[in-house]
Order: sequence, then C-alpha cells, then structure tokens
Amino acid sequence: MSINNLEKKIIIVLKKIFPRTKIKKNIKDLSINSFKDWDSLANFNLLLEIEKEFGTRFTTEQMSEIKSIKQIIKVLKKKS
Amino acid sequence: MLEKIKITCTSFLPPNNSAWIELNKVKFSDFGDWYNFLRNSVYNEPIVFVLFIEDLIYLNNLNQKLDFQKLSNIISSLENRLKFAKKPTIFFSSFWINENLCRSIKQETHVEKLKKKFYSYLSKLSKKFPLFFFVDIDKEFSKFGFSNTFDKRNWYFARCRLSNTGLKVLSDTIKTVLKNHFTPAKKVLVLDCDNTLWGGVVGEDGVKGLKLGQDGDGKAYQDFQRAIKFHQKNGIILALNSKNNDRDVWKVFLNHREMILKKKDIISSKINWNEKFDNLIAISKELDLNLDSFVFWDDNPIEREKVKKNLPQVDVIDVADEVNQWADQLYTLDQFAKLVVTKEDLRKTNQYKSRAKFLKAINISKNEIDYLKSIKLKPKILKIDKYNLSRAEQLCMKTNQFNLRTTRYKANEIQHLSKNMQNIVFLTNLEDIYGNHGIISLVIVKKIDNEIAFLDSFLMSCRILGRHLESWIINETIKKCKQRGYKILISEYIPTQKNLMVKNFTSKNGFTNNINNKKILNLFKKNKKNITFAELKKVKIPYLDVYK
Repeated sequence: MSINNLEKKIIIVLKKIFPRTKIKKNIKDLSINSFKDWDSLANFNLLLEIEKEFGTRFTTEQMSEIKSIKQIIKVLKKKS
Repeated sequence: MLEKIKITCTSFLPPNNSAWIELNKVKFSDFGDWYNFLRNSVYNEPIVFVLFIEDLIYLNNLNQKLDFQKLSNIISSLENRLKFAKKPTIFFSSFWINENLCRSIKQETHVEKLKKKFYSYLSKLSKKFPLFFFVDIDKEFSKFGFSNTFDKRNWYFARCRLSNTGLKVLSDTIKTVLKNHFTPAKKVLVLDCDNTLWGGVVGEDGVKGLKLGQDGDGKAYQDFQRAIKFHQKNGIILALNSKNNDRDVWKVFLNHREMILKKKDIISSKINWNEKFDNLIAISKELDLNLDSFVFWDDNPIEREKVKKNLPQVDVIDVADEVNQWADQLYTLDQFAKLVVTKEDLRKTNQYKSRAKFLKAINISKNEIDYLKSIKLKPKILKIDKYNLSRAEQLCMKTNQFNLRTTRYKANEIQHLSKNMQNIVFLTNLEDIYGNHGIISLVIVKKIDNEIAFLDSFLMSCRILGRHLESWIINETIKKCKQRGYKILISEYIPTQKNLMVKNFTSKNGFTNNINNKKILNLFKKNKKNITFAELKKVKIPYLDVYK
C-alpha cells in the first residue's frame, strides 16, 4: 500500500473515532493529546479501529507504546 | 430510535468505541462501580448489566473456589431494583472459562455448578418481573468462537475482556434485545411460491417435477417450510404472493405429499400476474393490517427490489443465496422474535380466519344491525390480574389504530394504575359465533378529583372492528364512572399517523366542547357541577342496541 493510501485510510479511522474534531489533511504530526478528545482511552479505541481497518494486530507492548500517527504509520509499514 | 441506555460491566468496556455506534445513546458507568450501580442506579431508564464470571474469580488463586454468596448478593440487589424499575433491565452473563477438555469430562467443574445454580435463579426472576431480561451472552459469543470474541491482550492492557469482534457481538445483542422490546413485532409473513416454498416452477415442471422432500435441496425446502410452520404456530399470519396460475399452486398444496404447509395455514393469497407490491397492498386491505407489520420473502432479488422501492414500510428479507441456509435464517429472524409470547398470539391464525369470514359475511348481509344481532356477540369485562397483565401490556404497546391517546404503558405501570381504586382499569374479552376473539380492549380512567375523571386510555384491537363494540365498551365505562360518583368524564384525542379512525369517536358518543382536542361528557343530565366550558347535553350512544 502506498504511503498516500495508507494515510487516507488512517484519516477515515480518525474521523470515525473523533467525530467532534476537524481532521486536517496533514496528520503526520498528530499524537496523543494533540486535541482534547485524544486521551488514553481514545488511543485504545483508535488502535483497535486501526487493527480492524488494516486487518492487523498489535502486541501488548505496541499497544502501550504507540501514541502518535508517525508510530502507527511506522508499524503498519513494517507489517506490510 | 432507541432509548437512552446505561451500561455497566464487571470489567472494562471502552466508551466511544466504534462498536457502540449503532446504539446511539449509551452511557457507561465508571469502571469498577458495577455493584454500586446495580444497587443505586435510577429506575426510569433502561440499564444493561454485563457480568463476566472470570471477573469474580480470583485468578491469582485458581484453587480458591468462588463462594456462591457473591452471586446471590447480585441476585438480591437485582430483585430489589426490579421491584421499582420502570424501564427494562437487561442482564448479560458470560460464564465462559477456558477449561481443559479432559479435566472436565468426568466431573462437572466448579464454574459449571455455579452457572446452573445462578441461571436457575435468574430464570425465576425473569418469570417474576416482565421488565427483566436475562441473556446468556455465551450463546452469541459461541457463534463467532470464544477465541475470536475474547482477547487476553485487551484484558492485560486495558481490563477489557473482549476483542473488537466481541465488543461488536455484545453491542449487536444489546441492540437486538432493546429493539425487540421497544418496537412491535411483525405480524404477517408473505411468501412467494416457485423456488421459495419448493424448488422449480410448478407451471413448467409439474407437481411431480418439483424439488421438495428429496435429498439435497428438496430437504432444505422442506425444512424451510417447517420454519414457516414454526412461526405460524407462534402467531404469525401466512399469506402467498406469487406470479403463477392459481390452480397450479393449490394443486401442489393439495397433492404433493411432502408439503409441510397446508392450504388451511394460508390466510390470504394473491396468486396472479400482478405486480407483487400491488398484491401486498391487496393482502393488507384484506387482513386489515398495516403494511409495516409485513415481512416479505421472495427468492427473486428483482422482485424484492421492486417491493423495497414501492413499499418501503414492508420488511423485505435479504434472502441468503443458498437454499440450505434458509431454514436457519427464517427460524432465527429477529422480526418475528417476541420477548413474551401470550396465549392470544398462539390463537392468531384462527382469529384472523374468523375475521376474514366475518368481513365476507357482513358484505353479503343487507341489514347491519340484524346481522350483528345474529352473530351473538358476547363481550365480557375482565379486571387486570397476573394472568392477563402481559396481554394488557401487549395491547397497549401494539394498538395503533383504534387508540385515543396512544399512551404506551408497561405491564408494571398498568398494574400500578389498576391497584389504585380511584382509577377504573379493565379489559374486554369478546366471543361470537365466529369464535373467541380473546382480550381485545383496554380502558383506563384516571381520577382527576372527586367529581371529574379522565379517559386516559381507550383502545381496541383492530381485528374485531366493524362490530361497534366500542359503543358497548364506552357505555360500560360510563356506567362504571357513574358508580364511582364521577360527574364528568373528560376525553382527549391525540392524533398520530395511524389513529385517524377514532378522531370523532368521542363526539359521536356524546362528548362535547372541543378544546384542544379535549372533550367533556356530563354523566348526569342534571349536572350542577360548574365547569365554565361545560354544556349540558343528553348522552346518546349509537349501536348500543346490538348488545342488548
């Protein structure tokens, strides 16, 4: 999957998890606490949704480490 | 569409997870607060309680057995709650524990024993309290597999027992139960014939050439008919809607030995070359039932699309591609699943048959009054008791057309109203030469003050319409009001999309002075009670003669 497509898919997931927040096109710098709704609970929901969308599974360790879009992209790229 | 609900769970359920999207208004209690929540939560909103037995078992000490006391505490808290709850309490319970197969072959495990005992208590509660629903959620999880629905990583990371799939299964199950509770079940199943009730086309293959009863799809069609029969026995009305020659279809019903369905099971049939949606409208008129209580089953996707497009209120089933799936699909269909089945439901087919006969006869007969006298109408008043309470609730929830105010009361509310001796609450049962129609009406009159009463509910099932029974019932209501010493009865008409037929009902029966859809009736001719908008008028009730 090209980086572009990957990001597009992540944007869809972000919009689903954060319906009250405006998600801009450039998401690379977003991370936990970037906006009010993205707290640790939302982070959990976000990772579960990413798993569902990309048909992948994070380890327990990754669940606690991944806290930004950059990290998500990095792990997803490694897996594909 | 769904009401606001509160969810609490023995472990963590992540709020705002995408699994809950379809449950539009959910609130979660704080994690760890489940026991307090169960005891103290408010009584006027639906609550969902989710129990995972693993949460109550000390995992760090597997040898230590769980004392039943903990579970019986839950039961007594629940019982306390249910005495006051005005909205449903839904209890989901999972006793799944990953046991070693061989260790549990020769002896029942501790958890199995607990489960049996606990579930038998819960079943008792569920019988005692109409608003309590107990769901063994493991049945749903097992359809997807426990290894897919539970997730140890989520447990260790976030104290959440379930996986993405598990959360979705839980959410869907909650939705199904609530939806079933709050929306009326469907009443009619309309079926196509060729390639639906049997394989093949009777007009081309002949009765003997049909696939029905033979190994393979023949057996599948037969099981599909058994599933239809199952619903019919539980009160669903069957109708046929087929592009076919009338004679050919009935030939199959009469002559094919493997047919499970018989001609007498079919209450209405439109077998012709008309459009199926036109036929559906005709069936709806014939049965005098609204199309939104119809479910349509047809193997042909083009016919299904046409019906969907032209009659969006009909529930068109997306039939599985393979016939071997049909029996299961129909048997498990949510649309026909009722949380509570009453005696009335089980008699439905006969009642609608006699209704159809009645409608035919009244069309032939010239003098309506003479005809009605000849069918020996025998109405009977019944007080609310524990045997007819669920029927009273059902009438209150499902009656749309002949219903003055369409106030939806739950069983416990009706019970509460009827216990107050100042109110007048009664049911009516009707029998005539066409059969016993069962309990078909509910009336609730509430006290306003010592002299004024309010006609809070006046409703009648539409299947006995045309007999002017409403005249008899309003007369009985008035009699009862007089006995209690009331001087004035106030009625109100609250318009809905479906109850236009009762708009003028009270004014036809002597109620006058229309003010904001409210009308008053003076129960005594010489009424000295001073109401500014009151006007003395003689009470005249049409059609009462029929019941003399």
